[in-house]
Amino acid sequence: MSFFNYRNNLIHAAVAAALATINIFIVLTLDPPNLAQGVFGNIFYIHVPVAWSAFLLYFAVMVCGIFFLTKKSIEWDHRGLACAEVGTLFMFLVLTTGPIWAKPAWGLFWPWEPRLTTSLVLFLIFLGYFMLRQFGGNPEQVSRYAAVVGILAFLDVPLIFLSVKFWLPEMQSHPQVGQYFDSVNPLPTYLVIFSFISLLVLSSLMVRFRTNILSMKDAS
Amino acid sequence: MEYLITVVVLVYGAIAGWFFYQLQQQKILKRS
Amino acid sequence: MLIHLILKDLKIEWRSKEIITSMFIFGLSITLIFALAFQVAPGLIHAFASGLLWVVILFTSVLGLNRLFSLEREEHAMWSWTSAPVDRGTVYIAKVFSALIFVLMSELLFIVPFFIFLNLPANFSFFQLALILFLGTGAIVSVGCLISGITLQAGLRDVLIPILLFPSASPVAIAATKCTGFLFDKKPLADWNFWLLILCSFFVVFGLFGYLVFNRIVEE
Repeated sequence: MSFFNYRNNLIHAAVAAALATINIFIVLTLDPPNLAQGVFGNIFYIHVPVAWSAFLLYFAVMVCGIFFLTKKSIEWDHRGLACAEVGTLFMFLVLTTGPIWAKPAWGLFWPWEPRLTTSLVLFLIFLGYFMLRQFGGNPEQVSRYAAVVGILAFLDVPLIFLSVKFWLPEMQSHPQVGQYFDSVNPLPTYLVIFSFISLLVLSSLMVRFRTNILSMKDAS
Repeated sequence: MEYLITVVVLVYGAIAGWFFYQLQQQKILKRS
Repeated sequence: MLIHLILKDLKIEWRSKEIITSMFIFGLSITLIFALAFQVAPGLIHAFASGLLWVVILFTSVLGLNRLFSLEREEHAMWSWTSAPVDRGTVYIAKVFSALIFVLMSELLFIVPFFIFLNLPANFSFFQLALILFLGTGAIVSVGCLISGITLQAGLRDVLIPILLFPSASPVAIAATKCTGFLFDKKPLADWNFWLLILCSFFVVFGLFGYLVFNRIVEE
């Protein structure tokens, strides 16, 4: 049966679409918080939640990998692959919207900022993950190998982040970002959290949809 | 302002494109 | 048992000496290319020397790891130790130490020409240099052996090892370059404790992870 023939999935999709529309509305029409970036500050309500979702999805790849290696059920492998695909798509969006934000805001296309650089490294590791999936050999072995690489990737994250953070002293995380989480004016914080929730709903829909398709592909 | 529109179109366009691609995949799988 | 596994690799290498010589010559060639490409201006090259050293080490480690694990692939030698009553984790640790010894030996060989060609002053503590080389190489090799074990069966093995290794080992590149940079500037050890700690943690985290997971990688 088609994924969207089930009522639960339709409800999920409708909620995701509604939240996404409200998010787009927020980004395009609301007055941006009063920062030096002018009308541009609203990009924060897309770029940052997408980044958080991407990291969460990569964390999910690690969890699915652990479950697959311990429980040996192929469902976990499908979930892991779905999370990896959606996560890499989101990470690609982070890496493209990042420079689009950075150039007008800070003058550089690529500030070697800790979080952006960690995103890049993680993205590259997952490109290797997909190459392994494609060319790794025997499918059952490849599932195990991919699970290990997924766990390895996320284990690496704290080390990568720490290294890059203290690598170039002048490139600290951009201070203006903190102003979005100011306690004096809570509205930007609420908006960011709302955006994050809308993207969570959307990405969980994408992962479930993709897992369904992968299971169908495997069964055929 | 153009940047904002570019970003919104990029992000949500990519996600919408992903959905279309998956629906196509589903159709192919159904047929086989 | 661990010692025997390490000695096995060392004995095989001692007969043909192919891994260490190929790594040494490859390292020399890369050093030559860097010297030519960076147009060895004496003042300029000092700034980049620490980074260049670790680029050379990373590239030659890839070569060495590839050769070390191909030995297992030929004649299906891997089957001999999958059927032997050896804990696979121990096999992994043995591979890490063998690879560490091989890469360290080739490093000690090409580091002298490296200093000579790039006209670097050698007025620092050799003990500290040895410590950095040991920890840095250990970190690279711990992830490297894991990745080599994963890609053993893959068709694109030669390409997959660097594709997966370089992003995963980026903290090592950062930390080891920082350490060597501080060493060449004759800063006291206390200044770069942090980076040595990063190298150690990297080695411990991935060594432990490889030990736990290697039996799931190599099972048939």
